[in-house]
Amino acid sequence: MRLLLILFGLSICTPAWGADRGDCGTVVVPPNSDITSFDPIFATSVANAQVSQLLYLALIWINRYQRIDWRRSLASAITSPDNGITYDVTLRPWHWSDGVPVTTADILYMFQLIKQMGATYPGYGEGGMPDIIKSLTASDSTHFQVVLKRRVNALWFTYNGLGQLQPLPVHNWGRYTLDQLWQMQSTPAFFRVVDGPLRPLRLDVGLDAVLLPNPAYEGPKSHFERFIFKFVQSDGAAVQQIESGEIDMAGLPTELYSYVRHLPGVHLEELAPAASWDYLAINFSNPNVAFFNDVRVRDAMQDAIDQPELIRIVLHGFGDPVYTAVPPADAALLAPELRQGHYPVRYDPAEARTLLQDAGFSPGPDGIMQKSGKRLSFLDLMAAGSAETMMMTEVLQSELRVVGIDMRVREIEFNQLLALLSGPAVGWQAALLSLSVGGYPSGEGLFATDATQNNNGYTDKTMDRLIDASINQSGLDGLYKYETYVSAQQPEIFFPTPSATYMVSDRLHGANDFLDPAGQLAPDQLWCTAGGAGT
Amino acid sequence: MIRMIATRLASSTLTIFILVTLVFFMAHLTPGGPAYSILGMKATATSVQQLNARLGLDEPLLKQYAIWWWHLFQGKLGYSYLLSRPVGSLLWQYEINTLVFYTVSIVLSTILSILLGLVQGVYFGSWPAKLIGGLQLAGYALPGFFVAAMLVLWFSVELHWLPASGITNLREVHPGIGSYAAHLVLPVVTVTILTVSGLSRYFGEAVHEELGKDYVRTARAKGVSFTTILFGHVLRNALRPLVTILGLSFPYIFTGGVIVESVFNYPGLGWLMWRSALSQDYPILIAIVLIIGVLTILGNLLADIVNGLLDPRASYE
Amino acid sequence: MSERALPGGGLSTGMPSAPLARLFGWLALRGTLATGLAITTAILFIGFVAPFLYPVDPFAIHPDHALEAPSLMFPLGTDELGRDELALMLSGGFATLIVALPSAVLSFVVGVAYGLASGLGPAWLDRVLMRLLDAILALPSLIILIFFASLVTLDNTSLILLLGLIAWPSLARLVRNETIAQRGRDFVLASEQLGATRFYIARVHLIRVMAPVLVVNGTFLVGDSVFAISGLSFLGLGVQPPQVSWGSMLESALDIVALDPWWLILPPGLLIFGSLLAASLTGQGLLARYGGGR
Repeated sequence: MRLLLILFGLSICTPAWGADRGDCGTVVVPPNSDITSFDPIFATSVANAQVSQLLYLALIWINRYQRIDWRRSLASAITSPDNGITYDVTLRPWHWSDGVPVTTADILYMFQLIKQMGATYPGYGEGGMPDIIKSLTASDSTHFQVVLKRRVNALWFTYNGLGQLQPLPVHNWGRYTLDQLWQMQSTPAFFRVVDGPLRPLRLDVGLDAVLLPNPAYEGPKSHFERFIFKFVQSDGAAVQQIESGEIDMAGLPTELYSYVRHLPGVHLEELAPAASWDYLAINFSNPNVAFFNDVRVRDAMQDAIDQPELIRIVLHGFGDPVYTAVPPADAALLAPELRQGHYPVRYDPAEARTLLQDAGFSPGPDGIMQKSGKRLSFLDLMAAGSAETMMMTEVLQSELRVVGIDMRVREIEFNQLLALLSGPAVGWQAALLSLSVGGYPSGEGLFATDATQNNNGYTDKTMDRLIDASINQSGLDGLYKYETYVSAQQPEIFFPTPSATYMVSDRLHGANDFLDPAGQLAPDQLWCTAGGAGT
Repeated sequence: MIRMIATRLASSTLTIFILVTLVFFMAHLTPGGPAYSILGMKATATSVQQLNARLGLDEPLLKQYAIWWWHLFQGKLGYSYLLSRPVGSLLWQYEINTLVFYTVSIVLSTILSILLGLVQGVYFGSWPAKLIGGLQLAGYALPGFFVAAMLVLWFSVELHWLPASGITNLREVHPGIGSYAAHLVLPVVTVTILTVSGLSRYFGEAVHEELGKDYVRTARAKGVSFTTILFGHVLRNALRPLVTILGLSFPYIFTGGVIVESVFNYPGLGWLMWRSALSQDYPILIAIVLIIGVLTILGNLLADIVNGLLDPRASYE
Repeated sequence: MSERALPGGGLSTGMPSAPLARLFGWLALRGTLATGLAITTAILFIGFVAPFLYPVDPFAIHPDHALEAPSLMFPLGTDELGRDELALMLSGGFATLIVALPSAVLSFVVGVAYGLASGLGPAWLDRVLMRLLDAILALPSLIILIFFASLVTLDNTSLILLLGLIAWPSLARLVRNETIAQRGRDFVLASEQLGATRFYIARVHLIRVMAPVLVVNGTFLVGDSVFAISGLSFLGLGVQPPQVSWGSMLESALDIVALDPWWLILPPGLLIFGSLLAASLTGQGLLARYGGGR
């Protein structure tokens, strides 16, 4: 049975271009983090991924409603005639900026590079890539076929696996080795041949990256002459620079909300909710905190947290509660009863205390629960530098204390935190982190036993079974069951997640369409008031 | 003299060698390293191991050390894995900014110091000298970042006269000299305030000391005008210790002030060192330490040579 | 960082209004020492006594009162997390001084010992030690500090060690020069004749003779320590969060300078300034009174 993957119907209509859409001159926007590379295969950070997607279009473009926007995708059709093992992809007619057509050879080239990179490839393991692919062959310059080693959920593989493929200019890059590509990844001159809306002009690492519109781009034109990613050091600096006009938009630092509200010439735009979630990672392999292995303790921790209140106090309302491993942006893919708010966990301190008592704990002299002389206490590590995170942590600390759990906090440098997380088991107990997830929110990279991003030793047979079902069976039922189980299990303690809210200069329009929460940027959506363009 | 230079050069080279070796091993023996910074959240045991293999970071330490010296003799200063650039070209790019910044600052500081020092020396004991002395003391005790913070608060935030950070206005496609100049004002003023406090005092003491010497008394007794004495002889003699100090400050022209550059986010060498320290990008750190070491030693040597030329009576250790 | 070389004091004027100037000079210096000691006492009080007198928890956040200017409830206002600035200032003072003072003491001890050893020992030892000193002095201290701070975990102990082991070279050189100068003096030779050990000579005679110089430079050392820990903290490489120090408070305040938070910038800045000023004034005052003739 043919299963057409244009499942959710067609897409968004473009608003008609008004005659008053003026040129913006130079648009200055802060990147998510420092930009250090233009090459998609080395893009380990969100910022690098964003900038590389402005140069090299991806096979599919997934919009904020989890549907494929075919007008922006390089694939014109994807079908799976046998419902999950074979995928036939048709490329639309497209050209590189030097006139050479984009062909399947470019796709094969990227796939070859992915295999060469092994575990250092940023998307390794996601969507099963690349090991789940048995063969990737091109029948002609615009058609190729992917055959997998086993049948999987077609939606999952299309979004998470195929979605990683981007044609790369083999006629331009083919003569270089992987090492050479690595060495030139931050040199703008190397990226002259692109097929996306922009091309790089200059990169001053730690400072700014300047991009120009690609004159040969065959998609919708941009309304500016230069696009600059200007790295902003801190929240305060972002506010100061948007006030002085040095930048055109920036993420809202929620702790400075009361000041930002009143800034003249600046308004706030809240995008669709975040495509990530914040969570407290807990270490199942550390014997000093063996109590984390008891699901009652984990559920008690979640029940102690009043997520809506946290959102109100710390985020000034700009956030969403999260109780399972589905980012707020993917709400469309939540199980029906979860979407209505019926989770296995909820804010209930009394219930939390009962759960702890069931687990064998009893209150100690200082109010902290203990069992056989051992206190229910652990050390939480957080990356320094965010006032928002600090506030969240402090409120979390007091909420946990109410039910008898003692959480101590230490701030360390982000790099040190990463090193500890991938080091020996006794090196960390808990850490406050954030995870960006796009596409189909299955947990094979997160919660399966020995999964690629499973570094806390979580393992559960039921979880493994449900993850498999969500990936391999067709339909969404497997996904829904998995989501519910994750919520009951709390393999990490889910946390309220700030929505993507931006401070935008009044001269800039279309920010909401430009930025989508999954991180893809559509520069053609930006325009400025005619006659009032910036210098 | 020649012998002195030769001995000094020899021992300096040894010093630098020891320094760099220490630095190299310390940097490479710490946990973490560039792989974590590069891979970010994608850092898993496997990917880190594979990346280290690709970057050559898993080779035995001694071998890496040898390779590093080999590259150094070829004129290559190493490769920054975080910024994906050769360190040499990276350093040069940021170096130019620091050179401009500090040259302007030091020239300005020297001129101001001479003027203030002259006033202080000539009017020693009376109120102008006391006032200057008080200001010097205050300026000397002011931490650079505090001065910078206050300047930004007044001139950028309150008055909106000057930009608070950066090197030029990004919106200008071809920024003119005015844009660069505007961004230089606050950093230069900060450094000048800090430098003049110490430098002018030094000069003021020297002028005062010179004015108390016999030849001055003799000249005055002979009826030579004060101005002639001052600008003819005293100034020249008092400048000598100043030259020593400037020679010692020579490295700062190249290395910049980390603190001032970080406050103003001014992309100079000091700024680069700070950012590299935060992300453990040790190829850059090692290279900068090497350069600073070499320059300091050269600066000392230069100062000694100049002093030797100016005053053959001075003796050396 | 500028060199902290202060040529000796002394009051020779050679200028016309000598008596009056001398009077002013003497008063000024008397005043200098007194002022220096007064400020020092104030700072020590703020750092070590006041934190225990002011009962507010510096880390308690009050999100509803974030970024407020000084008021009755919060005498020095609040920061962006709603924490009491006065409590933070006191806590930061303690954290700053608890690192700066021990490290100054460490530097002092190491510097004096090194200088004495070099000056009193055999000639070859002197040469070796001085060469080593040159190597260490080859780099500006802040650079070394930044480099090492990026490598080690930063807790109070490691910070004290780091700062303590960086600042002693100039003192060592000074002590060594003094020792060599005093070595040939009669009372030393007489002691040696009588069979006194080098150690005894060092302890009893030399230190007594060098005492003024040592005290003066020790004072400057304290000022330098406060500056060093504040500077490191400002760059994010010193006292680590959630603990605050004056340097890190200044950095956070500068972060949000766009909001005109003068009540967050002035207290830590003025206190660091005050510490350095106190050290300078006290040192200079002592120098003028006891130093002389250098």
